[in-house]
Amino acid sequence: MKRQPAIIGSHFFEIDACDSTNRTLQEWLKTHPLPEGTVLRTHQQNAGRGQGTNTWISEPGQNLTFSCVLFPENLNLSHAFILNMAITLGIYDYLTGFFHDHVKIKWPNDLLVNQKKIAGILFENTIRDQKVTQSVIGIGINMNQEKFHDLPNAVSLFVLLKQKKVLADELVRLLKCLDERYRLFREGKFEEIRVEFSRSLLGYHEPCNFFKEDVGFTASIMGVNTEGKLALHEGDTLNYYSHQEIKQSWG
Amino acid sequence: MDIKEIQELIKFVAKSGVDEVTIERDGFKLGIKKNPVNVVASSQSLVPVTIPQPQEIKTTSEPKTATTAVISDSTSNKPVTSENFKTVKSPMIGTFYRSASPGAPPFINVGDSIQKGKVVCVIEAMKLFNEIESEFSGKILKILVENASPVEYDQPLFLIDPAG
Repeated sequence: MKRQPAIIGSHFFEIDACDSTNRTLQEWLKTHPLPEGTVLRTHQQNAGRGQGTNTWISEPGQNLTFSCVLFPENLNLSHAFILNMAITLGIYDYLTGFFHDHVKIKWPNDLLVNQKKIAGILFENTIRDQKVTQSVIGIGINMNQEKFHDLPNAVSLFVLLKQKKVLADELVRLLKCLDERYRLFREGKFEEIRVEFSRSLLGYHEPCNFFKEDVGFTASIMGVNTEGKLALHEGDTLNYYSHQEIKQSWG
Repeated sequence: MDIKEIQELIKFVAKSGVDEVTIERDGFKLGIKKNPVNVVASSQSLVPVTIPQPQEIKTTSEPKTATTAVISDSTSNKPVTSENFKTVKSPMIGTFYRSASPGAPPFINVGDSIQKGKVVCVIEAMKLFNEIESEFSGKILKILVENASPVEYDQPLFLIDPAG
């Protein structure tokens, strides 16, 4: 069977510096009809954004920082988390090539190696009439950075492998991993994605510490449902939690 | 038209997809409108219908809470009744934000005229940030939710005057 052309990375832009690749790509999209899968990479992100008030700090030229735009077809809001799972698994696949089962996904979408954060994702969706019509996905992976002074829970490929990587080559490999998972998503293999994502979670089928309204408790992760809620085995009961309700401790 | 018929009609309107029904016959006029904020088309709201005919009866023009009953239009000082409004509702459970990132200007403010498709807020759910587009064009009359507060599915977020 002839392989379909890649979507993610089909069009590629590179800029020396910007505040945030998500923000820049979103601005471009307002005035230019960019094709699906367009990737914007920068060498220096000055105001990289994480979740909410968090920032994503990256030394210039040392790491991979890029964004990608997708236009999922007919994606109901209730399935928005499945796209997150597919993309997170794409990065997971790339990292397991180096670190095998030391890679874990920290729910809902951080990537850890040996319990230290190596990659993060920022999803910004556009919602029209209960559907996700556009998804701008920012991805940061710590590659060649040698030291993380104020970030004891951060790690890079270099710190773990003692080897510098050619970033452009690594990006090509990573985009291929992302594209393969996005292909599964487009084929509607939602259950396959959900099961693999669940199995890759930090704390899957293991006792793990959580906080709910500042009260700590121990539970085992049984997986996530399609909405992304975490299924926790607490004693004899199975409870589902949204990200607002509980925090998982790690590191 | 007797009370039973009106009751049936209100039930029908409540269940159906239509937002408004007006019936006029023999000098009697009845208007039923689904309130976008407070669903009043329940059996309790039938009480005002018992007033003598023929008079114009609007069963749903008085919402139960004061917040949306009458809102003064800041530019014309003309009172606006909620029956003319459209509401943008939350399509999901999550946390409501008025701007794209902390410190950034809000997407919209009261008094702004917006086109359908304009991003009006962000709702964060499961660490995904969802920019919500307005389903209506019009003028923003009221912002019903505080920044950074949790919202429920279908919770009204904005009141819009489509004529504004």
